[in-house]
Amino acid sequence: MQGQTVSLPHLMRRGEKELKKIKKSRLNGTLFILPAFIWHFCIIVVPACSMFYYSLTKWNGLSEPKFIGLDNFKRMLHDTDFLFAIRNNLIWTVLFLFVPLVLGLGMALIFTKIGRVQMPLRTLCFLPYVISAAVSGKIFTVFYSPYSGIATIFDKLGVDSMANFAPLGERSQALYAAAFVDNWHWWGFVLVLMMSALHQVSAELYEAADMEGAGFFQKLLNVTIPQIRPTIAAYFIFVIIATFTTFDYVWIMTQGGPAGATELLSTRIYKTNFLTYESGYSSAMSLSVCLFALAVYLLLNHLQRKKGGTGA
Amino acid sequence: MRKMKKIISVLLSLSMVSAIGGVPVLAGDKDDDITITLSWTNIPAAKQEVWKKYVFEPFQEKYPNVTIDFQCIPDQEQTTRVQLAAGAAADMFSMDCTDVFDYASSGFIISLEDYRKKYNLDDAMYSWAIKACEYNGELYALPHSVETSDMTYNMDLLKELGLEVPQTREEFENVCNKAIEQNIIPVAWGYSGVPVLVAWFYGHYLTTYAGPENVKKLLSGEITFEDENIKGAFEMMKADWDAGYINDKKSGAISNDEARSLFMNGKALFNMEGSWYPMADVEVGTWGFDWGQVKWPSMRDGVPAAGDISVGECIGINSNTEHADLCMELMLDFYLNRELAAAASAEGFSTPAAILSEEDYPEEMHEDSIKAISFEKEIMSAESVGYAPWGFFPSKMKVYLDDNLDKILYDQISIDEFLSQAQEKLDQDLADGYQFAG
Repeated sequence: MQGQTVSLPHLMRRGEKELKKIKKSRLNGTLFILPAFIWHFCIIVVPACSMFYYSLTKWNGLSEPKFIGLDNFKRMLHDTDFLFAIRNNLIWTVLFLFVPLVLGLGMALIFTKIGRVQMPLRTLCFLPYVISAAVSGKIFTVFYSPYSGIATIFDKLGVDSMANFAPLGERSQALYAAAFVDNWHWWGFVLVLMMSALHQVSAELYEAADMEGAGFFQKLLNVTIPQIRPTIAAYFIFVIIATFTTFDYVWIMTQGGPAGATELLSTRIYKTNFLTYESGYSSAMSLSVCLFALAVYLLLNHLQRKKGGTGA
Repeated sequence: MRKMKKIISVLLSLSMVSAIGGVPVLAGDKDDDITITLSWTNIPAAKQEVWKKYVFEPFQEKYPNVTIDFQCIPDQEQTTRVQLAAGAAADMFSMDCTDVFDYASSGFIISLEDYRKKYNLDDAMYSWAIKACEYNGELYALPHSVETSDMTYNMDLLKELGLEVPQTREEFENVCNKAIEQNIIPVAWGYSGVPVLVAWFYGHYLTTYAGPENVKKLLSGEITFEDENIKGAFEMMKADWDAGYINDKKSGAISNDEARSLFMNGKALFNMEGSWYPMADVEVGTWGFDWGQVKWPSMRDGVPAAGDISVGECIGINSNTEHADLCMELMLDFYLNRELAAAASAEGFSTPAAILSEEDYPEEMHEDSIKAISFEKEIMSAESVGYAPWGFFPSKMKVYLDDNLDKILYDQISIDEFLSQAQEKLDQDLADGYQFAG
């Protein structure tokens, strides 16, 4: 059999053609991405870079910014309002990491077992998610009012200990009262998320576990949770980032009050920029929050990869 | 197919570039047609109609080619600030007197000195209102409305409880204690969701405990927040809060609307707002009880009962506008036509900063309007008049007081710590060039 011989110049020509094809294809791809990139560059990258610059200035948002180096960042370390907002935000984050997850996963485990009624119940649980923050925030403000809310019902029922229930006016309760409303709104979505994750767990794994005589909690810990771990990891990352930008419920219900009890980073930043007009300082705070969220994201992503996941 | 893809992607890119980089084509004025934009806080539709009837329509009869775009927007103050920074603000806009310093020093509003002389504004408007709108001795904003902060009372409820309107500290304590015994809220007040409303509260105590003279000295840098008169005002305020005189210590849990509804429904004796409440914020005749407004009671011997006065809103003219003359003419045609201004006021328009006499008001007026106007005049012309924080206090200090006052109410920080921080802010304001305008 005579071997097929190909000359070197021919090979080179073929190589050049292939290279041209790849280049063309890359150019096409780049051109398609370009509009979105330009848009992204203008509305994300440019403001982000300008935020970095303004964080190093003293600026009221109107006049010429004055360069002050790292003074804004130093100030943050002694700003009790900012530090208090970090504390509140951490509480808020912990609440959102676990409460909706436990509720959503728990209910999802029940719903996957109950056949026909699953759909209407699931819809019912998801319903708060489609109500806007402004509407649900205002509704719950009325519920929480000592003169028109659930306190009046307790009063009529003769439950004196709850007759003065006014959580938005109590420093120790206000943050949890506002977080409850946001949780009420959010957990239905987590339920749907967890249900879709549970559907992807192979039935064979449960059968094998059954054959080994595993109980409910053993299956939950050794089959279900490891199998849906990527979803839970993605949920954690999403929640951490989202809770650091939470604004709506707190702003609508308390604007950070009473006495700063519900102050979150976002409301503090907003007030610093739009009430005290310290745009330079608020830029520094925003930048710190971004960097912190980025660090948490990278850390979680790293841990996820280390444990064999794909990362988010 | 590939060529097609390439063409599509190039077209998309070009359209994106042109959308971002292209110069926007503004809806320009055709020939002589002119549009004036006026940005205002979000007021009810009925009040917008009063503007239309008394301010815009008479002007448009004079200038049929002028259209007025009246933009009533929520969070107008913040929006205006962003719009100004972006060079896209309205031709004229409402603002607080405390903003005059920032806007004027940054060159965003024009000096109105020429108009001041041309229209002789010093004779036509309240001098203190004009002064409150000055920056470096020049007028930079047009005072729009004046108002008093005082005590609104429910006379029927007072009579029912066998009580009288308090004038002194002793009477005030007595009335509050008796009201609490009867399960009635002494003073209705809610600030949940709007922290700046705390200014009503501390404003009253500074005026009637420390006294206007001491407030003036404080804001001029002659005394500090450590002065016993100033500190005493905050201490008494805190004591009254702790005693439950002020909405049973639940003000942080309820909105101002809810506090108003407590007052309107006979569950509270007093309301701590001011002249704007019966005049501009509720429909005349809404209250189904005998009501009145008086000075806040004297909180200390030697300091008389008094109300606070302030410019409600003032109007700045955007330095980018091409229609400054028309903007000024629009507003001054209204303010300087005293009968027109009085008629608007009788229909629920905020009391104009132009000096009006009783003869200017229409003969046919609702009883509530007559009462509200006469109460306001009485408080404004009293021997002792206080300075409302939102009209006279420097911005950094006021923002600090507004944002942190409830921390002393809720025992989060001590009064000493609060006052020391407030002093720091006042020192900054004074260093920035703030001058007390009272």
